[in-house]
Amino acid sequence: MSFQPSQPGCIMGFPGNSDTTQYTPHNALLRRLPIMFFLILTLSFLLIGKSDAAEHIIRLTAEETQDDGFGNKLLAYKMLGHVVDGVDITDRYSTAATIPGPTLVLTEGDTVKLTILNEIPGNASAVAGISKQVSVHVHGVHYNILSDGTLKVINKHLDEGAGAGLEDTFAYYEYEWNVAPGTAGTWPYHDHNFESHNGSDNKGLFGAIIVNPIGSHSFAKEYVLYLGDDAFWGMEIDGVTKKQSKYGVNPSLAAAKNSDVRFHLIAMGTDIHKFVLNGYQWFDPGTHHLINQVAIGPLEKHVFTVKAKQSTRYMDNHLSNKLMGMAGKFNVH
Amino acid sequence: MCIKQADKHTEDKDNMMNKKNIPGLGNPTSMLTVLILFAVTFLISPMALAATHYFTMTAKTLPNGQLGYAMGGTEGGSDVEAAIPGPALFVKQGDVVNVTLFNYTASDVGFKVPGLKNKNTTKTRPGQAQKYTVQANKVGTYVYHGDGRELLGLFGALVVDKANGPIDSYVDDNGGIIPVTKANLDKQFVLFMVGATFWGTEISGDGTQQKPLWTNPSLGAVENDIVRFHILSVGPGHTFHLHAHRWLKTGTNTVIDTKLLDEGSDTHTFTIKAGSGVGAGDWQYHCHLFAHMEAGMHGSFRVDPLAVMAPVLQVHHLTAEFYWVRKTNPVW
Repeated sequence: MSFQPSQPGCIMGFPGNSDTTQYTPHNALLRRLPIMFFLILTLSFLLIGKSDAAEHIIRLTAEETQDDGFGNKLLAYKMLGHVVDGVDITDRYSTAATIPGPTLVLTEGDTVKLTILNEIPGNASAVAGISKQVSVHVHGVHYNILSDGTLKVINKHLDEGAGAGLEDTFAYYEYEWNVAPGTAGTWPYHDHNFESHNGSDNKGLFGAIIVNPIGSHSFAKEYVLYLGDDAFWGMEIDGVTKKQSKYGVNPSLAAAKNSDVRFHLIAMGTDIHKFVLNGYQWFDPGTHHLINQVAIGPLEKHVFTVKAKQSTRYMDNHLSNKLMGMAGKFNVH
Repeated sequence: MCIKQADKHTEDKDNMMNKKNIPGLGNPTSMLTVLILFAVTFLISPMALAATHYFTMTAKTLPNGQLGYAMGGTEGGSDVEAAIPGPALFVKQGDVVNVTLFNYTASDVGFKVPGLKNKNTTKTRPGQAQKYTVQANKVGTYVYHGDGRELLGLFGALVVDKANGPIDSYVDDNGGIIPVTKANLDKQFVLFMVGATFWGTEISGDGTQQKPLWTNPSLGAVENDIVRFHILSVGPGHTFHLHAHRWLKTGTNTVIDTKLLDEGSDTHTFTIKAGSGVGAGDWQYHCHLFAHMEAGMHGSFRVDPLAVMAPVLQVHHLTAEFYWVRKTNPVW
């Protein structure tokens, strides 16, 4: 792996020097090249068998957003650009920083190059013992240790984020994900580097990736609901336009009557939640058991589909969250 | 430490009965009897193979005032070394687990296994010994604990595996779901999540060699090792997350990388191939409850590279190499 850490303290430094990799082609190698090329081409058709495997180029930034009501600024991810095999799909996303962050919809077999930038004020100046970096640590998909999105104190290589970390400072950082077979599912991504090695998913730096199996059918609506310690943070994706909307606290979700919709629950914070969608039952993932309530702990995911029949409310039955009004509308019309 | 246990297999009497009937095979009635006996033998054979285990354990006070279990023990004192968690007990479905408990702590201590049947709920007085019997009739990983003193350190794992066939499956780097038998395991870890601390034990694949790792341990493995994790909890709930690895939700083909351990006592056992699809690295494991993360509830699962590196020009490796190449500048 052609990879070298850049010098700590160099603000514009960015890890990586693959362009300087020395290839010294000699005749023997050159002669083998066409054969190898043909082999790889054949293999890529035989093994992959998925000419639809896409390459995603994604650029995210993190910035301060609204006050949390207690004088603390919340942080949020914002989509700067998403290009899939050369096609720009950035207009699917909000132009503002959102909580949760943009939902990245991927397919098994895809690859992702995701660059994180940092627009939180003061992030470039190092402070001893406090990380100013933001990172993207993703769950579920494959990546090597340099795309873990953690601080060097954890990964033993680098502070893998944008901004001044404990040891390394980077203006931006690129992660590479292999959305390999066997990674289908919904997974969280979140910061792991802001202020400490735990990151600040509690301040709003979290989002979801949805990895669909090849050939999976689509849904009329997809809802991502993050279960926080006092509120849902959610968003909605339209199945046809793929546009993302309704970001924010306890969003009112909408569905057409008798349409198939999919809920993606991810918990965060510290509470263990008891999610219900009143009047609905769904299959516990991977089983044939119908359930109407699920216990879900921080960073677990729970994905289910229902046919939209009647309007109702989704809510968290965890006592303290229930008392805080942690619920939202599911409007069927 | 090495676990001493005695297995007594019941005799296969049915086999002998079958033999008696062989001379009468020409007779239809006898034939039917043979068939019935064969069917009965087949049906009860898992029971016939069931073992009875005799464990002797000692509950002791550790130098810091916490309590721990040690394997072994005698009357009139014990020089065996106690640890937290207690020794992991490995049995098979249908087995009977007898535990003789010596209590050398200052408080009453019992032996309780939530989820399995145990008739004896009497606690053992300080300085006394008592026998407890548990029927391991359901496959799973169970917490055993001191029935009231568990939060001070009196807890351990009882693993009940299927009597025959694979005991688990892992998700391979190409998405394949590969069954594993006990013989396939390179090593096992027990990690107890209690309060805001992990308490660990490293265990050989066959379960016979165990080494206490104490709190928030650094775990080690070599790339492609088949590693089985037993995550257990007592007290308030947790979620267990291991970076860059995936495994199966128990009893399903659903792939997960974070698992809730609900309050009370809960367990989750899974198997992985170390570094599968992600390679070597210091991969963090941690509780994903934010308050517990802030309290330092984490450790490292260090996956070392294989000693022999694969040649770079191997065809299947080229695609990976292509994939991991980093660009000096982003494309925009």
